[in-house]
Amino acid sequence: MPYSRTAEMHVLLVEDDRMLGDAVAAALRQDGWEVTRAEDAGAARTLLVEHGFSAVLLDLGLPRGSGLDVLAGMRQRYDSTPVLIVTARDQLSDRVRGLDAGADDYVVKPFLTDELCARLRAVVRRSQGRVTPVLRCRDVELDPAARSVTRAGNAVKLGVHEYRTLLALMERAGRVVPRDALESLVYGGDGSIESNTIAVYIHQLRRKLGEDFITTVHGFGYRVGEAE
Amino acid sequence: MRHRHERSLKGKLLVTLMSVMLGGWLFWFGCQYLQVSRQQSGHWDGSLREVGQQILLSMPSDVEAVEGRSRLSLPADLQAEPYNKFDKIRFQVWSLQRRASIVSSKGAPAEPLQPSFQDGLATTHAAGEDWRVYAVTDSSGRVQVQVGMARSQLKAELTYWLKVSLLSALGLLFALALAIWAAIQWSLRPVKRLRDHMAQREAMDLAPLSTQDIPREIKPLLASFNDLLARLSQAMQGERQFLADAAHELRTPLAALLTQTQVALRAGSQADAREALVQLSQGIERTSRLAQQLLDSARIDASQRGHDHAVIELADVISLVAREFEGMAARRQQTISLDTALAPVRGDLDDLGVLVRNLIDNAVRYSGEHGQIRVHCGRRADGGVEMTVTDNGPGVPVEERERIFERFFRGSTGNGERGSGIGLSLVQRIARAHGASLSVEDGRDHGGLCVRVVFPAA
Repeated sequence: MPYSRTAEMHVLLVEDDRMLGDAVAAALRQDGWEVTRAEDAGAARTLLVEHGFSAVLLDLGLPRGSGLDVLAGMRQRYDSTPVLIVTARDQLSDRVRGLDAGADDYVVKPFLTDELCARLRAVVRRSQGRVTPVLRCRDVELDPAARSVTRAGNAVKLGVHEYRTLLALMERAGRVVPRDALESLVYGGDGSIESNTIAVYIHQLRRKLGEDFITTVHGFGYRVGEAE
Repeated sequence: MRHRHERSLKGKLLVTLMSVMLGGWLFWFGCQYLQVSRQQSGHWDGSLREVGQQILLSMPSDVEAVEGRSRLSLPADLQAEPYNKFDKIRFQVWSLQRRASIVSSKGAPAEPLQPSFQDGLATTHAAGEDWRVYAVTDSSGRVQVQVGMARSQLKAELTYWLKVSLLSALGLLFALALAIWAAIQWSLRPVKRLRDHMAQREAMDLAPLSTQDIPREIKPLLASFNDLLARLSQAMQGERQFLADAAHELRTPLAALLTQTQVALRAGSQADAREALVQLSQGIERTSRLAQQLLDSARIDASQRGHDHAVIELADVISLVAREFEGMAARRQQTISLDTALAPVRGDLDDLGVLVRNLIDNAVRYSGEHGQIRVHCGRRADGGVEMTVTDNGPGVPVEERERIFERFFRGSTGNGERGSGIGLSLVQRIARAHGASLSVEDGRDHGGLCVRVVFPAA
């Protein structure tokens, strides 16, 4: 993919295990990434403040401060660099906490390098297509940098997937977003998983933001705002 | 530890029994003391009165005229005799008209024992001492006999009695303590025997303890201990079996990995080396999956106690976990379709993740190329939550369906896959811990398999 070969693709790899870090860094370089390494949370924080990265690959189990703290710190200062978290397979709760703290996606250890690179490219692609200013539609406001959603000035608590669904719709306000496009925007998948879960999130969003906030366009998909 | 006093049953028994006895005895002694001192003073008052009257009656009527004469004395050997109780009694005979002493006993003071010369019993002070005095005047009112005893004498006698009884009581208490100690030792002998028996045991000897010759009071304790031992032994046996099986399971793929590595190292051509490395990569994937399952298994064993059950959205768990299989499914040209509706379940997030992962993993693994996997979850009419994972693979023969949840059981229809036999046993254990029921039926297109998990209402 020529897309990933551009020179500005610079990833911060935060991994405390040197052997795994070396291997992952080598794999990423093979894939055309420029890689900077950090072995603990402190180094990661410093590097994040000093440099701009295209993406961060963050291991959640770090010595001296958890990866979650690094992530929370980034989101607190409105740093919206996409973050891909690396978690242990059995700790689903870590994964959920990571996504809640503002991670863009996750990979579970052990991973295949092809999958890792694909996920990394996907989060970068999504972040590049994203409009950073605050999105507004009627009384609903969504701030992508702060990952916050308000309705008539009151904060609305959304699950990770609900948030992503809303973000995808609001970035394309006034246009109909097809169901499968929405799915790949929310999950970033490559199509081997078909899901109806979008309907569930739409249902939840309507419950939280008003029944008529999202319009169903039968046979096509969903839309927020008036048709263009 | 064994000798720490507050922990020893024997010490406690001894101390308690002895304190009760000492307390009882002190109370009894106090009563006795009061009684004795009262009795003693009554006894002495009687003696004083009797002696006084006898002396008065034995006096000649003209005793008043007697004055200053010399007296008889005792023979020397009698003088040295130890004093008897009447030795402590002193008397004086007074002429009331002249207020002068007529006769007095040896050791009596020169001044009157009863300075007021009143008849009857009284407590007085004379010659620097307290006295108990009885005075009696003859019928004509001329002569008065005063009989007295120093109170210090009385006290000395009481103190003597006190000392004797205290000492004997202490001796008795000491003897009792010995007897009680011996009795306690004797009755706790079976416990000591039990202790020695247990101390001699091997660390892993979990055979039940004998209840022979064990006192009735200790038997229930021993019975529940034996019960615990039995359960422990069962668990240990399970663990031993599991460890042995796990080691065996790991050995095979590790041997394969080693061989593939050597093949890659010796490969003559790039293509051969590449082929071996592809094999190696697959072998590592399989081994790490096995390691993960063993880890999950150990973790679930550890978390069987005390679940902190929260309400968890099963649909979210499914969509989070399904993503792990994206790459694998794509490589096999399989499709995974999620058909999920809101399905709140009360449970542990990580454990439910393991359950969902193993069910999807099984479906992906056994449905082969172009397989179609469908994961469904939703509420049932009865308020419970249902989840099904269906595939169109070779399925499982009806006669094997009961057994697929057993640990290390492998079905006969593998589709070229060789599982560890751990995954579905994990599913069963997690389902059980969540009060969910598991069932197996035919999958899609008259083939394949459908695993159904039904959770109780959250």
